[in-house]
Amino acid sequence: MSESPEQLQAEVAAGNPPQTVTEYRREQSFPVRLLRDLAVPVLALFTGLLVGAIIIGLSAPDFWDHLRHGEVLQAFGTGASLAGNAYYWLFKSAFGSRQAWSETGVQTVPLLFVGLSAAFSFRGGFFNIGAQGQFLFGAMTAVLMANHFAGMPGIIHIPIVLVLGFIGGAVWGSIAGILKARTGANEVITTLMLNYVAIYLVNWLLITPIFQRPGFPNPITSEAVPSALLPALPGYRIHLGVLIVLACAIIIWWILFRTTIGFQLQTVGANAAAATYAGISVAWTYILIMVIAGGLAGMAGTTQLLTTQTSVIPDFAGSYGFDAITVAILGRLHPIGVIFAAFLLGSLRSGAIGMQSATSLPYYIIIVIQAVIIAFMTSPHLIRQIFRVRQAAATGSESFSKGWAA
Amino acid sequence: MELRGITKRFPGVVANEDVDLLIRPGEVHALLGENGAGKTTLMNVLYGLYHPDEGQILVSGKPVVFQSPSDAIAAGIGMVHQHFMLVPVFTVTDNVMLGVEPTGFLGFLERRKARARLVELSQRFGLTVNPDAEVEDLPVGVQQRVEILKALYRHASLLILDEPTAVLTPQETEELFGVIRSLTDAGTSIIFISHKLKEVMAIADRITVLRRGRVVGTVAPADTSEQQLATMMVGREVMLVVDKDPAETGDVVLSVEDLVVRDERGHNAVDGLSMEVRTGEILAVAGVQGNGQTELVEAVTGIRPVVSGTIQVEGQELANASPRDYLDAGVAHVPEDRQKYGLVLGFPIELNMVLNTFEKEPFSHGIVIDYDAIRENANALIRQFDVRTSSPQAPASTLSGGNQQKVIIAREFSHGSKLLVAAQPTRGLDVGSMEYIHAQIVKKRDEGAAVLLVSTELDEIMALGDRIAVMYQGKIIGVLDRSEATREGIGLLMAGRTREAAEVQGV
Ligand SMILES: Nc1ncnc2c1ncn2[C@@H]1O[C@H](COP(=O)(O)OP(=O)(O)OP(=O)(O)O)[C@@H](O)[C@H]1O
Ligand SMILES: [Mg+2]
Repeated sequence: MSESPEQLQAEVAAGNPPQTVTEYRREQSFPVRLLRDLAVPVLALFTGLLVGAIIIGLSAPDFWDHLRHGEVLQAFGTGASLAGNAYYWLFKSAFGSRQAWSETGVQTVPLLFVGLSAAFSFRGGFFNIGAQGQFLFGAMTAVLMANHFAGMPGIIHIPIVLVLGFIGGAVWGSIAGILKARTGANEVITTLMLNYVAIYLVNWLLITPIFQRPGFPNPITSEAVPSALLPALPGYRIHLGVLIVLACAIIIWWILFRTTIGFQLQTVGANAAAATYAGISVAWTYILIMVIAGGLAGMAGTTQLLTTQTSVIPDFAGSYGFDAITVAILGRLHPIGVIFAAFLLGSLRSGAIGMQSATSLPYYIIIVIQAVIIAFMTSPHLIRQIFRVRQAAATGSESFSKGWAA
Repeated sequence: MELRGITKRFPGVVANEDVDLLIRPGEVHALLGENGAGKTTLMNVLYGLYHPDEGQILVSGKPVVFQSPSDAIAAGIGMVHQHFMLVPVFTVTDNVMLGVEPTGFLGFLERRKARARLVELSQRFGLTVNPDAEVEDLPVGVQQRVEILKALYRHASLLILDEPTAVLTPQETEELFGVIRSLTDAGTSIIFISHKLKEVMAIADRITVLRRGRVVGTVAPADTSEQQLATMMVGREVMLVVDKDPAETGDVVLSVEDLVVRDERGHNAVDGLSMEVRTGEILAVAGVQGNGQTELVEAVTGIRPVVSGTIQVEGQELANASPRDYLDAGVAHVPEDRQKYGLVLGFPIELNMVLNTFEKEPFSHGIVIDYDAIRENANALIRQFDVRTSSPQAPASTLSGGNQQKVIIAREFSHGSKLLVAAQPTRGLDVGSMEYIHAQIVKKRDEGAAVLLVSTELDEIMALGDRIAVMYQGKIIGVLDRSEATREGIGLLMAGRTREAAEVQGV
């Protein structure tokens, strides 16, 4: 953890002088760096699974009966066997067969899109938590355009809808960017509030003639026409979106670490005053960040629409808005890390669906696991203290939104 | 208090090597050394922030190990860092008692008790400060007193002052010296770090010089001279005076007319100021800190909005233009606040060296950044400007204060500039680096650039300025040719006493 000067200052001022000052260590070899970078996420995952197991164990009906009769060993036995069984099914349903892998992939795609969106904006020091609204607007634009251009061949139709879905999310996202650029409005508040605006606006749009499915009384759009749908592997649900999102991850990586735009963005994220001094337009950078981040979230909504959820309903965006933050932080704001993080959460999800039907344990247990992971990721000190991991060198790669971790 | 054989290594650098240091009770012990010589590191070892790789610390003859600053504080050591560690929105009393708050019945705060002790300390040592003022409203000089009070409140018997005078006005420095004397009279020892040889000669009882992490020697001021100290520090003869030919001035580059600029509080910090800087000359702006120099510099580099008036660079109107426009017009800027504007501390040195040029060839082609070109540039500049670092990839935060400044100077001197605006360019630099940077500024001038130098150091103004403008309350109240300027005359103008100044200067 590279403590920021402000943090250090606050700690020292509060009479808790730092135990050590971070020292710069020379670039370590790749495996060493990888181990160092992976230590905290892996331990957080491990702790999350452990806490999940304990909760499952405690929820075993026999557990308390045994305990009441003083049979401590049996109590723990049933608890452990239930947890073991649950994790067996979790794992099997995520990776146990080709179908399982396909489902895991399907779950991963939207998570990866929104995770990239959040990571990109956090790197620029823009705490965008508005992925949900951007997701919805991407999907709304996409459904409208898919059906507007109905009859086109897929090879043109699909790209058009994808691009327009990106633009839908980008337009919605850029509202918060413009607000911050023009007025300095705090983006945490505006993006959060814009989520509510988006949800209710969409609820209303869904019952207007433009969107509502003809002949239906409830808020639901028509299905996207088949020619716009992303092709899937025959016999499986896994679809072209996997390749599209991986390409996006690589593009985002490239933008962040190989282009002047990325340099600009990270400078603004690390020290906005210095960015101004260096002739970077901080206001434009904020807008640009939100165009791209909003667009990525919009793509998430669009690919969902063009694959598994072919019509928009009020609850269309689910919890993707907040999953975005989880994935970004777990992936340490690095596009490659975000790929792994999205895959991890994606497999937890596809696994949990299988686990629920096999063991009748609630799907929501993975939400607990996810929550524990995020708690530990955002407080690496805690994880380090528990597991006595050495402090990482002061390369800045670990700080939450700041730093240059190319 | 004694340090014995202290060695502290960082990767690729030995910051301290086998350092012995003996601090006697009640003495002022000055530490001198080049930028990156290891002064701050040594003090951080003494204060428990770093653990030495070798050697030991002895307190009253007994070896001790400081796990953290709390141990050092318990042993009676206090440290005032160059960058203050105060909570800006707290009052002076709250800041001082923070962490050692007196509590009474049921753990309630006894702020009154703390305040009384604070008032007593501040009276005893002449550290005048209003205990109820909020820290953010206080000038730096007073904030520093709060830091000193914080240490005294924790019963410090050894006080470390790391470059305390770098940010002070001469007046404030005098007051600080008064405080130091009353502290030493009461038996407190002081470690005093400074790059200003005059100050060291004036206040120190003994002077220890470090070079590249090693102790070169310890001397008493009576047995040495500024010149000799400079030679000890740098290891060669240093020119303490700047050698330059008369200016060959040409066309006007920067022309400012009736400029009005507001500060954060909405006051007109620059208030109807006009001036001109021509090619081939250095216009040195003198003045007591806080007379609008900061706002002037920020306005003529595009960082701060202009209320009214014009700013022209080679005839191009740039008032309220963006910093980018100024950069494109060929204006280089060495900012006064290097950590806020000049550097991104978390970024590697090499990226800091292209902070405002990364979009240009050869550092990027189109939108693609060329990291090899950036690395090459950094290696060349590190060599040329003698930046002491182990690697161009080390974050700028790991550099010593003076070396951070060199990174900025290196960058600003390397992009082609018609106008160089330099605010306090040698603040915190050692005599060797100062000599080098002064020579570079003169070279820039001789190459035909116009130079606007803002400094609160009269020595620097006198050494570099071809013309000297004195700023007082947002206006330039006098411009003198170097040949006719005298220290007293400028001193009087800096205090706003135009009439007496006119008599002294005979103009
Ligand atoms: N945290 C760190 N990690 C790596 N190297 C460091 C670190 N802190 C200091 N150094 C290196 O150790 C050397 C000594 O630095 P130090 O800050 O002690 O110098 P200094 O004498 O205080 O210089 P100045 O007068 O410029 O403040 C420098 O080369 C510096 O780059
Ligand atoms: Mg220092």
